[in-house]
Amino acid sequence: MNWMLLLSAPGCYRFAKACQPWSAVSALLFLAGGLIGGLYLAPADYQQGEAFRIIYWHVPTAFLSLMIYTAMAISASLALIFRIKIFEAMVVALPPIGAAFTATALLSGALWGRPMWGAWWVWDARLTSELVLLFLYLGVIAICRAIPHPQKAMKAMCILTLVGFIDIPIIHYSVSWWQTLHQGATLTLLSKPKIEVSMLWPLLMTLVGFASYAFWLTCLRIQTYLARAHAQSSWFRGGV
Amino acid sequence: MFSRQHKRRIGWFCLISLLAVIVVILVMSALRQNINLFFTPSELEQAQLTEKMIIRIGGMVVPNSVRYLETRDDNRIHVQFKVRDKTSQITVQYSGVLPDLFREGQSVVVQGRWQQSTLHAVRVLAKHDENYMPPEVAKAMKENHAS
Repeated sequence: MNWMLLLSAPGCYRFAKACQPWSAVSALLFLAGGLIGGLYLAPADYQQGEAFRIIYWHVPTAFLSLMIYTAMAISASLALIFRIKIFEAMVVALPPIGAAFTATALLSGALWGRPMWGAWWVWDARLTSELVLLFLYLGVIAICRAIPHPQKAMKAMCILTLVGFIDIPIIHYSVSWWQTLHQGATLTLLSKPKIEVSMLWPLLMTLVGFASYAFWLTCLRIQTYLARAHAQSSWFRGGV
Repeated sequence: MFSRQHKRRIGWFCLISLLAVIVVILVMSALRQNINLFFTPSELEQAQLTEKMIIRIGGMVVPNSVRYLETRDDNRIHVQFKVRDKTSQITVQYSGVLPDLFREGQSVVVQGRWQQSTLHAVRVLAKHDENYMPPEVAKAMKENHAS
């Protein structure tokens, strides 16, 4: 397969279309397995009891809200410097998906915070910076809708995305830089997980499941975007 | 590999990114103290406070310090406990419902007014740490620790 072909609109369109069934199946399988494992098979936590199970929703969605923004920022820089259409498509496709993941992370966190901390919401550094991330996503969507001129809109979206990227390391390190109510990271790349194996494997499964789901939605949105942008092109009208 | 136009754009890109990072670092270091959610008890000793200020204190509930005070006629639970960090401790008074995770030895954040060397709390939040394990494992670890 010629990978450079992916950068062309027809190549990317076909790739996005071909990936959808696979990512959908992977999302369904991993989410089903992870949720059954997390909600039925995993033992209750020694301190939090059953309420800890929100982790199987909260951690993957929060993690992906950061990953999606990172992908968006990389796409925005490539779109801004090299004007590659596929990366422009990514900048348009990703914000609503990221906003949805951020909102579910915030909501599930609030549902957990009420019984555990004793508060739905606290203005600590982690929660506030994650809320800022939601506003960044909504801001990019708003710019996309508000500026009628497509090239100007794209430039503004890319710049906002890149300036907002500074929030990502802040969210990640907020729990170690400042005193917060939110706990520190349970899973880190280099150290042993601070969660028992019987509770860990469903978490990894929902993580893969939610990632596949995000990838599926991204492919779908990119396909739609390209179909709309190239409705008059010969490759599209010739059938793909 | 890159055309002149691309090089120019990359230059601008790096310059503006660098400036944005510097701005954010300066703002954050200026706001350093304000971003922390709470004081620790030892920081409280140096703080300049008036009785009207609402503050948050974070620390560990001192074991065997939780006392339920006599119930007055108002149908509320009145509780007194001590919160400490490594070097100092303070007394907290609170009336109301405590969160599920509140227990002796647990980290908490209490919010209220500092009056006559006592924190009159209006809100008590329990802090959870990053460790997750089943009850059996926690019990086994405790026994290992004790022996």
